[in-house]
Amino acid sequence: MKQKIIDVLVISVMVIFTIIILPLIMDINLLKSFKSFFEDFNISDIGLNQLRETEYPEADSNIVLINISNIDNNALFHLLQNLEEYSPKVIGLDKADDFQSNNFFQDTSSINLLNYVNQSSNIICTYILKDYSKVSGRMLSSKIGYNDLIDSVKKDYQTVREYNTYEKVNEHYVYSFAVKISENFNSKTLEKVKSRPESTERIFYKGNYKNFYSINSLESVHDLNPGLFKNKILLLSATDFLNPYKEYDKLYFTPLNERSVGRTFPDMYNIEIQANIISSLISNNYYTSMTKIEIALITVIIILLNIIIFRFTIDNYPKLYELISLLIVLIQTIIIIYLTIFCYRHYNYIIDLSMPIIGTIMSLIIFELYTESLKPIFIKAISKYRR
Amino acid sequence: MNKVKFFSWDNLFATLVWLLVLLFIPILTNLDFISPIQSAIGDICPSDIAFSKLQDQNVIPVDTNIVIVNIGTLDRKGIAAEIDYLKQFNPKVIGIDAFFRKTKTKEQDSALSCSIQSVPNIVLVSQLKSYNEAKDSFDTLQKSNDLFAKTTCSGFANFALDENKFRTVRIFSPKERVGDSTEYAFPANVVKLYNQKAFNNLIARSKTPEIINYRRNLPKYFIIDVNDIINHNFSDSLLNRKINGKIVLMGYLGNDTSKLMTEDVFFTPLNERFIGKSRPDMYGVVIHANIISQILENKYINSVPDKYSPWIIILIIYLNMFIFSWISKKYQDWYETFSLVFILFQLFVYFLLIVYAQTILQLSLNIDNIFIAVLLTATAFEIYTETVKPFFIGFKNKVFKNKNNIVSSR
Repeated sequence: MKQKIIDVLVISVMVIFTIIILPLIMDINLLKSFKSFFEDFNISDIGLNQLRETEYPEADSNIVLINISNIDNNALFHLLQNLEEYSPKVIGLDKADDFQSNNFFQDTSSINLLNYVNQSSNIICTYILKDYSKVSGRMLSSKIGYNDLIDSVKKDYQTVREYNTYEKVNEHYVYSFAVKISENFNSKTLEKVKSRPESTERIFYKGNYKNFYSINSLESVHDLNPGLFKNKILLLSATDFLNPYKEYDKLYFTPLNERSVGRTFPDMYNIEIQANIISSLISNNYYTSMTKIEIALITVIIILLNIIIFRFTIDNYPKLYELISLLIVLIQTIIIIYLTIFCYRHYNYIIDLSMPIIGTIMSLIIFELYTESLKPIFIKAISKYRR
Repeated sequence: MNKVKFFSWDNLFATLVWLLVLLFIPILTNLDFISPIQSAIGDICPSDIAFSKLQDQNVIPVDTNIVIVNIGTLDRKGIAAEIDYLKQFNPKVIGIDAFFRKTKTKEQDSALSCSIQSVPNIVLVSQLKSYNEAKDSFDTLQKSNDLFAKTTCSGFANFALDENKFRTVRIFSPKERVGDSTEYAFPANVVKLYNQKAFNNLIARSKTPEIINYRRNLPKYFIIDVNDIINHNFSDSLLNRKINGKIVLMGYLGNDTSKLMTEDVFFTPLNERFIGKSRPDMYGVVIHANIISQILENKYINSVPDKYSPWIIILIIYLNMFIFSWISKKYQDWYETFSLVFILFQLFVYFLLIVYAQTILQLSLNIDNIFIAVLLTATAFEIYTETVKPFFIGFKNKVFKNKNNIVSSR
């Protein structure tokens, strides 16, 4: 019995050691593509696009997306004035590229626009975190929120699943564009954001521009029912959703992509993702995540349990061991994948069980390696040495 | 007793068990939540590494036979202006990778029509539609409107895209049957007008599909952007040197070449990431340029015929079974360690074989499935030796025991 317990412990340590060194092996230059693939891979994305289509045909009626591409600053200034007459609750202006540019302030229309934004009570503008000091010198800090989503290198191969509600810049905290907009829409949102344990939140995706109310052509704003804007969140961005010629670098991969894994084109503009974040903030849709310690604990339990089952099977049903052990690994893997998807969709609970899956597979390989090869070789070597 | 034969029923049955395990895999991958993972893994093609990692781009020269001209989002009048500008430098062939199906305004159409008619060797693209499996031919061929196509020749621009492999282009078909006639590919027809001998070589190979030998992206061709023509960024003497007697390919390279757009752009084996998400790396017109370069340089990639690859794989698996069987009988304690190391070693060797056969011999071994096949060998061998075989032996003994009992009782 004592020997069996020692065996189980030795095998478990070997499995855990393998799980730890696997990512290091992936650092080999030739395997880096695999590493980034596994880094991006997330079971919970699978089939989410189809689910959301039926779950949220109208993602959020509080948010209206307005395309302002191809209009100059003078026209934008007048558009903002017109929109404010319709009493929107808050206007989000995505001009991050322009407000940090020195050339932007060379004509009077730009200066007028900047002054108008600064004086308005309910306009929030985007900026990029690296330009904070430049933008904060030109605009009131209450008027700006960063809209950074993902590192520009990782953007090429990683899905945007998370965002930071706040960041520390120059020794003080700044809030994201979405949090600022949500705070203006509902002051309680900020309290909720502050009460959350982490600054990083999983985005609760509901849909793209098709699922929000979107206005793609400027002319149509004047023809629309004013009630459409009253008490709403208006997000203005130079984003032509309907243009088939999309600039690749302005798009991001999201879990709602029609292909959740593998080769695909990115599917959402920054402003669409911001709309999703704002929607989740104002409707209090948050995900809860399993902590890393909990995941590690589950992994260890699964490994131990597997090794005990394998030991029991090989001792009692040696002829059926190969088949049973293989079936156990298969069934466990399928159950883990299913559980991950189920908890994510039905309980907004994120369990990243990729480590337990690797643990399940490795436990079988290393169990056989140890019991049928390493241990007998070791025992023989010891007895030879003693003789 | 411990003698292990190469040809034995055990090795054969173990190979059969491997085949059964292999047949079981599609049942798993058909599960809704597993199929996306399978399609991602299906994107992987080990030979891509030969193109993306092992090709020394510094050694590959710029192909001076081809000049690529961006048409951006120009309208027909704009394209006509580009043709008029380019024709003064006397290109031998102009290939236009754009469709002009319907008529638009008279001003636009007549400008383009006049420009096209004023150049002798223009190739337009066509599109094959409705593949008829029974006849092994396409039912429909769509061409540009007669207004533009009547004085030109055309070639189909369809890429052989596998719907499971998102916009990934690895092969091309030089010719296809449309009804009772034969239609050549757009790059093939461009080459035909430029270098008949190279075209004849392509046709003489009678190989469909051909593997595209990707060697160049935009920096390896002379590129003229929309603004270069509008702003006259290049001197006439330079353009004369680059274009005179050469192939000009006109197509979409983004609104301008500095920004990557999602239109007419593809993934190729030159992509730096060979699995998972990545930036698409090549516009359609550059893929055509690569095919043309390949035909002109006579740099074809031969491949082991499809019909042989399953047999090669089965032979390798049988060999594995023999080696496992030998090890398990001669050095039983070492079997588990050896099988694991041996499988990893084989994966590495086959990977090197595939990659280097393509790089050095320009030969596609066509055994991409060998990796999953080899991964399953030890499992199949162990299922056979430790479960299936003892079960059958037990069954056989039981039957014979019963028979003997019957005989002895008589």
